[in-house]
Amino acid sequence: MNWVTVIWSMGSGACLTLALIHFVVWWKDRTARTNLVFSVMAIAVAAFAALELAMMRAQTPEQFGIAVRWLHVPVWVIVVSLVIFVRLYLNAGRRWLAWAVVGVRTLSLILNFILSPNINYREITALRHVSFFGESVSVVARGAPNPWMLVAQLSLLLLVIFVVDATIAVWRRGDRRQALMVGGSILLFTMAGAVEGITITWGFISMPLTASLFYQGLVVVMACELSFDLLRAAALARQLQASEASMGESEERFRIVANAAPVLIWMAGVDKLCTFFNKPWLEFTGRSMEQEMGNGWADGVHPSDLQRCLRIYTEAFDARQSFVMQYRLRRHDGEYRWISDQGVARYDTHENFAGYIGSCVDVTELINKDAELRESEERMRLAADAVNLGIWEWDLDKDEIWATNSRRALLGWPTSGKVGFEDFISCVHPDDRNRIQEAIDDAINKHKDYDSEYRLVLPDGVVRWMATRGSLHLNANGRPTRLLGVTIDITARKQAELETKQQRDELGHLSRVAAMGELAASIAHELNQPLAGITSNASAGQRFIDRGDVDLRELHDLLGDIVSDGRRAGDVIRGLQSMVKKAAPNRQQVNLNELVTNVARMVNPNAVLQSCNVETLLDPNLPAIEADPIQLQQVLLNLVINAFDAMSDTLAPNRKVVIATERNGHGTIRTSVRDYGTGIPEETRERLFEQFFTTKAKGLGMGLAIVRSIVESHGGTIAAENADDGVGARFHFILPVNGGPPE
Amino acid sequence: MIPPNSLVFLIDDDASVRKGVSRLLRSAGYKSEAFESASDFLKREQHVGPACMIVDVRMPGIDGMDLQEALIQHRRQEQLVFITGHGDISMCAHAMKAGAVDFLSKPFRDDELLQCVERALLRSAEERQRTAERNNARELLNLLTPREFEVMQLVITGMLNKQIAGELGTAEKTVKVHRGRAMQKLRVTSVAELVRLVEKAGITLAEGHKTKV
Repeated sequence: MNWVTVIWSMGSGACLTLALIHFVVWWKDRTARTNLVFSVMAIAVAAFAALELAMMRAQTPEQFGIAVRWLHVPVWVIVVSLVIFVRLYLNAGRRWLAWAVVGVRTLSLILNFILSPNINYREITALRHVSFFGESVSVVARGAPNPWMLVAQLSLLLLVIFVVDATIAVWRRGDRRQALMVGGSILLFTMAGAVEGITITWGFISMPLTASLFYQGLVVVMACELSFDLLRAAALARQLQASEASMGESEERFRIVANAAPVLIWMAGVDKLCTFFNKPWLEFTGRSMEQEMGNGWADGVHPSDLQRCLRIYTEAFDARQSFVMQYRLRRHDGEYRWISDQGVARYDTHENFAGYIGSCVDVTELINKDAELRESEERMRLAADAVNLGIWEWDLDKDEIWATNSRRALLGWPTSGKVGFEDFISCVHPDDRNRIQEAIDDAINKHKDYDSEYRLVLPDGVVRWMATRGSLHLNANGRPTRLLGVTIDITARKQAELETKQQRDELGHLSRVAAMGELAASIAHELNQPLAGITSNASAGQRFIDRGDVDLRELHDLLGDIVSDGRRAGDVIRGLQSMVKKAAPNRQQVNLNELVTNVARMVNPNAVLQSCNVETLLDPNLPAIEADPIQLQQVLLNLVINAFDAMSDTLAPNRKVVIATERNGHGTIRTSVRDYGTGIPEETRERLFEQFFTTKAKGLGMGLAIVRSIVESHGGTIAAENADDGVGARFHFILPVNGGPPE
Repeated sequence: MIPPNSLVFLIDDDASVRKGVSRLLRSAGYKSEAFESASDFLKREQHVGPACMIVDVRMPGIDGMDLQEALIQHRRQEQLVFITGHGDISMCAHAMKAGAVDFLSKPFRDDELLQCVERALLRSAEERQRTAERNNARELLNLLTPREFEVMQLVITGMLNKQIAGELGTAEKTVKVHRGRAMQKLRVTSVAELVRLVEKAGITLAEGHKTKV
């Protein structure tokens, strides 16, 4: 035993061991081709070392030559293995260079076996023994180098170029450690081996070939690399396991969240089949996860929606696009509910398409409401058009007016396009513009409703009367943002009003005369009081004089009283005249309470005659209203006298008339006259306010008609009803505080 | 003729009427007091002489008719003359039935009113006289013991002492004593005088005794 044998044997053995290990690795995982290549190379290196040993032990030049020839087989294997290793492991190196290396090397191997004794030597004539690590080994003593050996050298040169090229590529790619370790060691050890081989063969030095040592170094480096890879793989596997575990956890979390979500959630895999439904979904459909899985969910979709639903789903799925669709889905109670389903593609952590996920909400109420809204809007539009009602909305911020089409057409506005306040005001009659502007400003500034009447001058020059009502909309901060309202054509009404006005004045006169007749008792009483005072005073005066006991001061006072009583009687007469004469309406501030009190006093004598109580119930905080006092007095007188007449069949103790005033809200005052008579028969109630309609034997049928015309000329309304407690009737009229339309 | 200590009350809500009528009454020598409403009048304490009231029928609050009723209920002796701005026959009849002196329409003639006032005051005075006599008679009757009263009741029906004793189940002698004592207490000397006294007192006799005759 000596060192050379020991070292070379051990080297071979180590190589074989590594080869075996990596072969097993490859055996377990056939994709690990790198390990197989390494294994083959390691075997080749072992063979190389064995042949080197054979060279050193050669006794004859023939033996030596044969050993050298066979040496080229493992070299070829090593070179080819290296090329493949670089390609596989470093994933670099030019393909043509690789083929060139393998080609030239193969050529050299062929030449090696053609030429004798081998490609290195033309002939080996003598061997000599030299001492090497304390052992005598054979080296070539005399031999002629074979020029064909250059082919083999060329292949090594090409290998070097190939490896350098690959190493640079790997270096540039950023894997510098790999480039240094693998590329660098291949270069170092192959070049070292080649240089040694050349120098020995060409006889520059005389020593045995030890290239196997370099190749063994290469094997060690490569084995290390591959071992690192194995370690890395193991680490990766552990990480993978860990990440898979965490993925499992996050999936669980997802399920909890999905089940708690207030929406229906489904998930589908890449094959379009559903893989998951959350609890709300299952509760909604009342079916189990197993029933819904795959395409099971489609059973619950309304048959007439199913085709459309599947088409949208499939198309979106194939295009990986999000989709939203509505369909009817059967609920657990059998009712089909409208569902809005929104699906999006989902991707895993590696950005790989993983299927779809979708969420659904029950939108039945919304859809119903939407439909209702559309319907009611349509109905409203039709109704508005039918009664020639214009609906409009004015956006204060943008100064933009929206109006129904019929209204736009009326004003000559284009059917579309922006219209502002200026467009509107320019259509208003010039005399009404300021008033309208003020009314609108007032509404906006005081946050109240807008209500006015005005004239429009239409594009063809025709003037139409309009009545409009608008309500102000405030935003969350209480700032007015919109004015919304309706406008109606009241031209016909205005004309009728004008025509009836004269008629009404005429009738008003007649009725005043008639009322005076009915008030004869009252008038008499009003006159009799001062007359009684006058006659008493005058008689007293006469008696004083007759008695001859005249106190002049007393007489003076007495005459003064007579004078004032005379004036008082004169006032009564004048009041009567004003009732009778055709006076033009005279609007002024009127306190309704005073008016009622006066009328109550005026009718008192009538009340006494008819054994009837007249009571007043007055609201003490009544604002003054703008009205014609004489006309209103007439209204009240008429109503009260009617009340008396209605109680002719009532027992005297029960005869009572109650006149009440009260604020009615909305800036109006309600005045009512209630009697305890027979009430209003149902069949006459509707005709009550008609002209020439009467239930009285001597009636003209004018009273209530005139009463109504007066009330309406004050912008008010009048109505009659039977009292709640079933006894008697109540007439009430409501007047606006700010007066009616000017006459 | 104006009865002594007489007073005229005027109740009318109209100031002109109050002033004029007050003056008229004064010119005729009557003392008068005027009130705007019946309730004002009722606050005044009752006058202790002949009294006449001129009352407007229609007034706010208590009206003339109500006042009349109230006075009757309190057995007051004021005599009422109604005045009104309008003559109403049914009301007039009602007032007269309830004892009003008269019912005048405004404007009235001065002597018409003054005559009414005079008549009313005289009637009031008479009424007062009658009341005074009745009260006097009643006081005397109250002096009798129950037995004497019983005997007296039977005496005025014209029974003899003997009959009375039979009626009451007692001795004739006893009846005679009671009768004498009663006559003495009532200060009468004859049965005729006794009957007049009982009439003045306005007492109706118990029915029971008559039926037992």
